[in-house]
Amino acid sequence: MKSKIKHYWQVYLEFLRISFAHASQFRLHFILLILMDIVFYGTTLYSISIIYNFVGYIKIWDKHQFLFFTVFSLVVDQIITTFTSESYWGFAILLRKGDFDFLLLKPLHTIFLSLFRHIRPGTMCNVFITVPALIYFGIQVKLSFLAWVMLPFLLLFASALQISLDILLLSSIFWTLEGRGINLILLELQNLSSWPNFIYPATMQRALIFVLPILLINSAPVRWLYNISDVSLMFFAVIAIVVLSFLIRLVWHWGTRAYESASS
Amino acid sequence: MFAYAKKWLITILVRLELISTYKLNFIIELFAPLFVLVFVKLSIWYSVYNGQHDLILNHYTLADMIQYQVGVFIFSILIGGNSTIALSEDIRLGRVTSFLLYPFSLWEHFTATYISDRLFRLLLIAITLTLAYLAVPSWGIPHFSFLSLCIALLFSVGAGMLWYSIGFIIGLLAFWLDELWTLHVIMTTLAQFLSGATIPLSFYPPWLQSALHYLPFSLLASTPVRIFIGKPVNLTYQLTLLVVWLCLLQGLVYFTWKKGIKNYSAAGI
Repeated sequence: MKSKIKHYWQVYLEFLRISFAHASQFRLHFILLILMDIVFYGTTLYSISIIYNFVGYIKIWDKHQFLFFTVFSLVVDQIITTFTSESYWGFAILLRKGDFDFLLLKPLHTIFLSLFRHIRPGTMCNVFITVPALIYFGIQVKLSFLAWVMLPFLLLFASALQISLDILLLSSIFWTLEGRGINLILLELQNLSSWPNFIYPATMQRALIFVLPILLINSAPVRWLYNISDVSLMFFAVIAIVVLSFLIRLVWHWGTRAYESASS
Repeated sequence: MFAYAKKWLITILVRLELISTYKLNFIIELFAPLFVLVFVKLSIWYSVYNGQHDLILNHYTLADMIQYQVGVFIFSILIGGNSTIALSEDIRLGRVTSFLLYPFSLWEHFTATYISDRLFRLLLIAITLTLAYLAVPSWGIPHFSFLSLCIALLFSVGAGMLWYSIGFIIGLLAFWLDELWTLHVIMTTLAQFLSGATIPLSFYPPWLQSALHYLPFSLLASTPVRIFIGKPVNLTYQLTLLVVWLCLLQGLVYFTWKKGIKNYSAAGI
């Protein structure tokens, strides 16, 4: 088990090295990636700020609570964009062109090779903007000491939940072979999760917590950070990630069996 | 003249056929904008107003805000989308060469493609709004006059050409740059924020509203929506701003093309 983890880690370090080398060849593109994220973060946070010039609360949250939630979701989005989403767009092409055959032959899991292959270093650089913003708004909302300790783990947990959902939905490309539509759906679902659960109507909340647990990605960890004793959403989030892990193994296995190569 | 018009018509029809080939994409493009409107935007504003129909925020009641967002949905579909990525790929991969020989220029081809995209989007709006209205008749289709709808639609044609010109200029930068999608995303994000697509521009601080007064962004969402829902608009000023910016941008398109084509090289025909 230990040697297997070491093997995966060594391969992943190579992926990182190649991605950094590739990114450094196109310096203007690297800078534009950073600028693109800054513009997105700035407009998102400023839009919420503008709304709060006219109201004191949106449902149960004041300005700083809402902004902390938004920055939390931006950090999760940053993690996904850096480490996985670059590979999502190429997955359908892998299947259509038959390059997936080569991944099937390698001694590593195809999920790892197809969906964690490409890393976007430019987005990683914006951690110097989002993390200080998270700390600033965390101080404003007066997070407890335990909440501060749990914060990095909850960011990783939220990212893992998001990635699990993404992988499950991306598995449908084994049958549809068309990636653009699925990736657009993923973007819309990300859009849904970047707002707190309480803004949605009750029926929709139930559907997006118990059926497709999109609202658990950011709302569950943040609401737990605000009130450590309220574990209900986090409990559902933990169950969701366990169920998703099981479903991914099943659906991915079916997908690879349904896969028909174009190249051999 | 007839032969020239036929070239445009054939390009438009081929593009329409291409759009409808990928059926999953067709369905997603049909329902995704409506989904975002209904489940995200309206939910957000309903929460901001806390469901209070008599609360007025910056001269907008909840009903006014719903009507504004429905208007943004309609006109963002009509005006949005451009040829940046496709154009940049054609330049990068050397596919521009054939257009230098054809009796139908690159600009004409992409503009015809753009027109067919608009027709497709008009169909999308008609279908999704009809379905939505049949499902929930009282949910907030703006009360509009036929005249305001016609003026708003005509205005959106000009606004669409404006956005198309911005996208075309960015696409032409492929003569010098390798990757352009980041610039496209930056421009789209800025345009969404500065056009009033997210929040009505009257909510913005006075200094930002003054800055936006002379820029073309408000023409992309705020102005056509306000015409459509019957809010007061200085139509003469907005039309003048539209014409001035269209002329400036088309001039920039011509200039960028002339400069860029001198740098262009490709193998084979």
